[in-house]
Amino acid sequence: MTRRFRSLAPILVILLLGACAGDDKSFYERGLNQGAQNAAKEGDHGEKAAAFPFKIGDLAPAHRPDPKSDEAGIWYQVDKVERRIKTAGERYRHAAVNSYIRSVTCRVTGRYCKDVRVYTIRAPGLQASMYPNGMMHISTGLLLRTQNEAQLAAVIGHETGHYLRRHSLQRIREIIDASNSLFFFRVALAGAGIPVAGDVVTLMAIGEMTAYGRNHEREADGYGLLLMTQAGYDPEEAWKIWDLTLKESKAIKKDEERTVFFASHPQPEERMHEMRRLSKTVKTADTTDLGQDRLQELVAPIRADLIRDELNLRRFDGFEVLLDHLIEGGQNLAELYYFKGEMRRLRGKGKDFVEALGFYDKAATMPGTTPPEFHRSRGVVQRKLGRRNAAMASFAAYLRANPQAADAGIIRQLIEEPEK
Amino acid sequence: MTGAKYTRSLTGAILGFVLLVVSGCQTTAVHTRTKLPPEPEKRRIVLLPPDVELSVLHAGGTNEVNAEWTRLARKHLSENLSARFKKVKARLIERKETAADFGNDTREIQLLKLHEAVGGSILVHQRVGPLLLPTKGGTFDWSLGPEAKYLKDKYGADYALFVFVRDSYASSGRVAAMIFAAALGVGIQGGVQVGFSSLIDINTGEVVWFNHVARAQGDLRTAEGADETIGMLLSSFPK
Repeated sequence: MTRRFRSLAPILVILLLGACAGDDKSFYERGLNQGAQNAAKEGDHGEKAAAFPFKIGDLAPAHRPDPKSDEAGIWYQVDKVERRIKTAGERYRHAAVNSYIRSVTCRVTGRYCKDVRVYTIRAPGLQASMYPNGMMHISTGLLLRTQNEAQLAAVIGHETGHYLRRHSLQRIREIIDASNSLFFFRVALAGAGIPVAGDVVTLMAIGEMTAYGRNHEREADGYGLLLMTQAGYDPEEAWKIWDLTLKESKAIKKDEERTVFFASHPQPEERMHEMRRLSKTVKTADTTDLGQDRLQELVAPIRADLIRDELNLRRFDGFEVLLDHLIEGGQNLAELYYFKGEMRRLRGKGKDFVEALGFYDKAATMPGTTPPEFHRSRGVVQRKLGRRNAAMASFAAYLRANPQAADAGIIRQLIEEPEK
Repeated sequence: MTGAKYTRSLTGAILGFVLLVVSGCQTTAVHTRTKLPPEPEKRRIVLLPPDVELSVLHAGGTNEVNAEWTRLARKHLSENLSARFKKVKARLIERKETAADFGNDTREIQLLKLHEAVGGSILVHQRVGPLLLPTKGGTFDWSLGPEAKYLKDKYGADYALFVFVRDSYASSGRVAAMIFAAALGVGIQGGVQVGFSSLIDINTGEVVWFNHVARAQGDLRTAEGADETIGMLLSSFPK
C-alpha cells in the first residue's frame, strides 16, 4: 500500500519533475546485459533480479501473479482479451504458418516457450505487440517484411523482452502514480488561481511517460538481440528490419513532421545504429543461422494474399518501397511486377495506366507465376487505354484460366459489349 | 512494433462516461414481457458467463482491476442467482467458461459476443449517458436474430440471461482527494457501480427484458452486498 500513500503527498510531483529520466541509450546494453546475467544465474529469474531503475525483476517461467496483487488484475483483463482473440475473425488460421511461428518462438524463448503464446493476425503493416500475460500478436504484414527467420526471431525476441521485463506492469504502475500526483498538483494550482500551470505540468508528465516507454523499447531491443543470439541466429539481421521500416515510413510520412516528444518508440535511425553496433559485440561463429529458405518457403504460397492486404491500404508510396524491397529479394518476380502494375492501375493518375501495362507486360516475361487475376487486370487497363482487341484477348485468357471465377459473368459481358 | 498495450472494448465505452451518469440511483427496467410461462418446462434459463470487473479507483481517476475481488464477486453472483431462480421455480443452467471452448464451437462463441454487444448497445444507446439514439424513442425492439435458437438447442433452455457489472471502490488516496477537492469547492466522484442484465427469448432472439444500475453505492465483494445489487438489478424480472 505504500505506493498509494506515497501519492498522497503533492510534493512528489516536484520529485517527479526533478527525476525526469528522459531518453537513455544505455538501455539497449542494459537489456542485453541484464538478460545475460539472469541467464547465467539459471533458475534465478524471480523478483531478486530487479535492476535499476525499474522496480521489478524478470518473470520466472510459468509465472502466474499473486491473486491479490495489482498484476493479477491486469492479467485478468488481458486474459479476457486473449479469449476474444482466440475466436476473433482476424486471426490468421493457417496451420503451417502458425506451427512455424510456434517453433521459431520456442527456439527464441527457450524455457519460456510455454509462457509466450503468439497469435498471428491477418493485417497489413509491420506490427507486433506483447501483452503482460504472455500473449503476443504479430501481423501477417511482418512475415512479408522479414527477409529471413533470423529477422522474425529478432522481433519475437524483442516482444519477449517486454514480457520478461514486465514493461506493461511497470508502465501501468507509473501511470497510476503519475496521475495521482498530478491530480493533487492540478487541483492545488487551480485553487491557487493558476490553472494553466497545471496543464504545463501535465504535459511534462506525458513527456516523461513517453520517454519511459522509449526506454522500455530500447531495453526490449537489447533483450531481443540477446535471445536471438542465444538461439543461434545471426544478430546482425536485427537492425535490417529497421532499415525497411525507416524507408517505408519516410515514403508514407513525407509531409508529416515527426515529433519526438510524444513518440512511444525511439527513432528508427537510432535503433538501427545501436542494434548494428551491439550485434557485432555478441556475434560468434555459432550465431550465423539465417533460416532464409525456411521463411521464404513458408511465405511463397501466401505472399500474394499478403501483398493484396498491403495494397488495400492505398498507401501507394509506402507500397512501392515495400515492393522494391521484395524485388531485391528476387523471389517470384512475375508476382511482384504484377503488383507494381496493380498499384498503378488502382491509383490511376497521370501516366499510371500506361506504366501499369508496362509492368504487366514485364511480369509476363519474368520468372515465377502471376496471380489468377493477372489477365483480368491487364485487360481492364488495356480497355481503359482503348486497346480493345488486346483487352478482349486478356479477358478471354482470364476466363480460360479461371472458368469458375465469381466474376466470370461480368467479364463475359465486357467481352460481348459492342464497340463504341 | 508497438510495445505493451491492451484494449478494452465495451468497458471503455461504458466507463468512459460513467462519471457523467452517476448523479443518483437509477433503475428502470424495459421489457416486452412481464411474465415467464407458468409451466416449469418452459422456465429454463441459461446463464451466460457474466462479465464482471471490480476495481480500485485511484486518486487521479485511474481504475485498477482487482482480481481477488472480481473472483469473489463472480462467486457471489453465481450462488445468488442460483438461489433466486430456485425460489421462483425457474431452472438456471449455468454456462461456465472453459478452456476447451475456444475454437470449438465458433457458432456459440459468436452468439455470446453478439449478446454482449447488443446488451452494451442497449445500455449506451437507449438507457444512459450522452449517446442515446434520438430516434429510438421508447421503442424497445432489440434482437439477436433467429440464430439465437442455436443456444436453445444446445442447452435445452428457453431464455438466456446475461449480467455485466463494473464496480469500483475509492482507494484511501481517492478519499483524500475527494476531501481535498471538496475543501477547494470541487466535487469529484468516488467509486461507482454500473451494471446491466438482459434476458433473451432464445426461441426468437428477442431481448424481452433489460435492466441496469448506475449508482455510487453497491458492493459485490460480500454475499450480502451481492444480494442487494442483484435484487436491485432483477427487481422487475419477469415473474
